[in-house]
Amino acid sequence: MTLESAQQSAATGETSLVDLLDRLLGKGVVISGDVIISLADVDLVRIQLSAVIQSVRKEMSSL
Amino acid sequence: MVTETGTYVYAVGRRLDGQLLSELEGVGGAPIRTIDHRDLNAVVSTVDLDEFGESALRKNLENLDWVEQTARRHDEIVRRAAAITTALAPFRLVTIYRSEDAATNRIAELYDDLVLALDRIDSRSEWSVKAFSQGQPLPAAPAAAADGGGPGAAYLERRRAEIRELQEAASDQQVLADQLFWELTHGVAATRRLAPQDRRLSGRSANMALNATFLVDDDRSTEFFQLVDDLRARYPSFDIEVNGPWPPYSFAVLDKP
Repeated sequence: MTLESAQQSAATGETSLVDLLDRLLGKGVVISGDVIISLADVDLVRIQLSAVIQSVRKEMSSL
Repeated sequence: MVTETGTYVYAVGRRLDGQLLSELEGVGGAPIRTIDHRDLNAVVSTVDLDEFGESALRKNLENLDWVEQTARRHDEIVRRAAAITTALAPFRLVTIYRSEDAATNRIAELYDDLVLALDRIDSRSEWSVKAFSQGQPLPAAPAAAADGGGPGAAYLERRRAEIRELQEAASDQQVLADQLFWELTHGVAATRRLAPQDRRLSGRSANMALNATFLVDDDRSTEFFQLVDDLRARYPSFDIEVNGPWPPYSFAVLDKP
């Protein structure tokens, strides 16, 4: 998956990966304790992902 | 050597018939099953910790291909489960317990909160609404001339005036986007504003002025579309995009995290 194909899927009406990650990384029931890894602890360093993650984090920290 | 496994939880719902999901493959390929606690059913599958353990996850979450594949499979399972119940609370991507017992215990502990969360989303779906404006991207303001004079000064002054105009236009768009958002909230059960997506990710040259999501009663979705259509006519400077229905990802929130 490249940035170009992420953009294509956004443009063609297939569920956009960005829209999906906006929801799947930030929200949904979050139950901590006993989980193997908490997403908040993960340092996601890839350039392609960073913009998604930043926008999600911004939203979470404003709650 | 036996591979260690964990229990991946996709969602918790009420009165889910696990048989109807047993043909599906979860992330990593193992079959979907449900684990039950009172009237709640968790949709789960077994995952290998070689792929979903802590160190593997740290690496895999940085791989966009892996993230996409996992997110799409997770979404598919959640949608299939949502299709057979009215109340389904999706869990966040890669929620994995060390054992089935650990997952069950946690659901038992959180039973009351899960029931409240399910009550809030029962017979409702999530709809995404984005508004794009055709405004130009803001250029960076040039630095003030060091000596305050010379032939460059007039140019810089002109350039700053242009940028002020663009900034004012952008701020007008923001006010309009806020107003549009409030108008959209009429008659919806709940709403959240998400951060506007970066242009590079939205794939649109237009600026995303509004990225909002709404929890709408399933029997009121027609009214919601009508409202959006009315607002399209009243906000011609925006290109308004509606997308859904989504399982209520943004609204399945526990009171006590």
